[in-house]
Amino acid sequence: MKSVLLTSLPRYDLVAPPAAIGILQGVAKAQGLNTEVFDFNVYLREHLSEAEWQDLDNWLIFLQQDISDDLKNKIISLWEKGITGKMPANCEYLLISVFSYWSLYIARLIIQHEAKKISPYKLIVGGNGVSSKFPDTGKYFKEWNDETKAIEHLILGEGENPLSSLWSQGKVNYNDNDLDTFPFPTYSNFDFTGYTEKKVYITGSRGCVRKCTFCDIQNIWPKFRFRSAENIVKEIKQHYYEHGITRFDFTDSLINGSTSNFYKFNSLLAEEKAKNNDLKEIGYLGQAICRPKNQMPPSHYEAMYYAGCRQLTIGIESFSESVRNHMKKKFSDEDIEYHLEQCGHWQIPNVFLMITCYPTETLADHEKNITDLKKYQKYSKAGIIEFMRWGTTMHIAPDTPIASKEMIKSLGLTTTTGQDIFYEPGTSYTWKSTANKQLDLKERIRRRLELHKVTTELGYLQPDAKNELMTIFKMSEFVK
Amino acid sequence: MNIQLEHKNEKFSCEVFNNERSLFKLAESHKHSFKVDDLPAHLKIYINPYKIQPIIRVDNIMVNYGLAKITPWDHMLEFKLDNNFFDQYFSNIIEAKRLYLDLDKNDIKKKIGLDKLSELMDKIEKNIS
Repeated sequence: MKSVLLTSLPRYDLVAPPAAIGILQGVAKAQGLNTEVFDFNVYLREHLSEAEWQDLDNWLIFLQQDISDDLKNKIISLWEKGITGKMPANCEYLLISVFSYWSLYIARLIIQHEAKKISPYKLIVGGNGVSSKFPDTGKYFKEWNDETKAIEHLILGEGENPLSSLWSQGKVNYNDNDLDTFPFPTYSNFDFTGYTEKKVYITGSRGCVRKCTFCDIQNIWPKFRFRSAENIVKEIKQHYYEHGITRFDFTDSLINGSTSNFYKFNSLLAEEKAKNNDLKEIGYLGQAICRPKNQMPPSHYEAMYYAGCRQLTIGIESFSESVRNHMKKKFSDEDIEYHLEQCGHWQIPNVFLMITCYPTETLADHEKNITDLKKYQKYSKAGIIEFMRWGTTMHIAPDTPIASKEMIKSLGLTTTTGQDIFYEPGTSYTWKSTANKQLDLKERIRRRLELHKVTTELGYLQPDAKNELMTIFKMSEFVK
Repeated sequence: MNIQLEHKNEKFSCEVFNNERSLFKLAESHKHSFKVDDLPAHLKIYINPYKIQPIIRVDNIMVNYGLAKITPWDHMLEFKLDNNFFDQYFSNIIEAKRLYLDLDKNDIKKKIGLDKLSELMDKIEKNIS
């Protein structure tokens, strides 16, 4: 029987098995392949020191130009040891998942190493990261592979169809426009004890219904597509009966992209739980968008409660409406209040994702952030705003609407020395705006520190604050 | 403070006592709302039929029985209310997270971000000053 070893790389969270590997393992098994998995992200975290891990992280997010040769050699040596231990018999394919453009450098390091080897397997590489450019060379991943010919099968875009076609010799094809035709992800071979939570990621939709200026999701999935409510509930039940999983984390950009389908999903899951006592502990969490009352009436929140919605991650981004309007978030202050009121009514905790120092942010916008932190403190005390994440201040990501020539021109985005915003990898953090001169790097860091102080004083929980401030510290070195 | 009791499937009646004094009786319904002005309050809510555990909301926020220290007896619900109810509730959230993560009192502050990170903040401030 043919075999495949499916691997994933940093940068990814350490919380649960990576969704991409679960999805592609499902496809491989559906084509009759023997599979094994290797999470190199978790393996590296276990085998690198704290300082080495931080160095690697700074390199991957482009805040550091390079890492030492010693660390690169250690990473390669760990990779070799790790895959040797996991390699299944008759391994015909080694698959590497490149989750995002923050995985680009380590992917290149590993793939260059693999290309030097004489191996019995063919290399398959895919994931969102392979659609990106290397910030240091300005070359797209595909261009780099065309030159080096390091990868036998480079998968651009979704993996299900190209891989099912490869593994079935063209006999099996899924309907890309009907996500219900894809096989269910499989999490066999994963050791759940290696992760901080026993949960699985689940994908109910791909794409987004918004076109936020800072986000590149529309490049990856231009069209919003979603699975039927029945199909998602069926998958949840399958993971429960196979692995005893009761916690499901949606990978969707937003779980309420289709409010009618989301309502149906909640109603169906609640019905299943009411009928079958086995399922009563099942709960889910996911990212969602804040919506006005006419789109998500109180009955929708009630259905979420009975279905077991344990947490929503909401991209509020800024408490200033004018900042959000520029971002094209399309919800008002009134909508935030309504959302919190309903979440309070049904005890649904929220993680608020914020972006500080967006290029149009004025001092008044910043002060609005502080005012609303005070206003919503009661929701923090009640656990309804469970966590607050202020992030590392606005980072201009390539291939996003805000990085378009028109926006860069209208916002006057340049480096501190007046060069192109992507002149050097780190300059996407250290930008300045000639249209909002007050908001230089020093001021951005000052505002971020002020927000940390106020947020801490008000007692909001910020579990990622230390990591975020470590990155801010790195950024502050550019001010000196 | 405003209190609301709700049970989706069963109607129930209740008699509300504050500090051993009967305040009022509420006839059978899926939902009951009332106000408690006399704080601190030690509430006992006798419920009929027995073994009903309604959703409880304090000032329109649904509370968790464990975190709100609500004791569900077969025949009544018993809990305390004061002006600092949600301060106490928040402390109980932190304590629950501490126990879940098996951390000591200092480590939990670091883990969930209640730490002021003063040393790191000072270093950053120094760099931008």
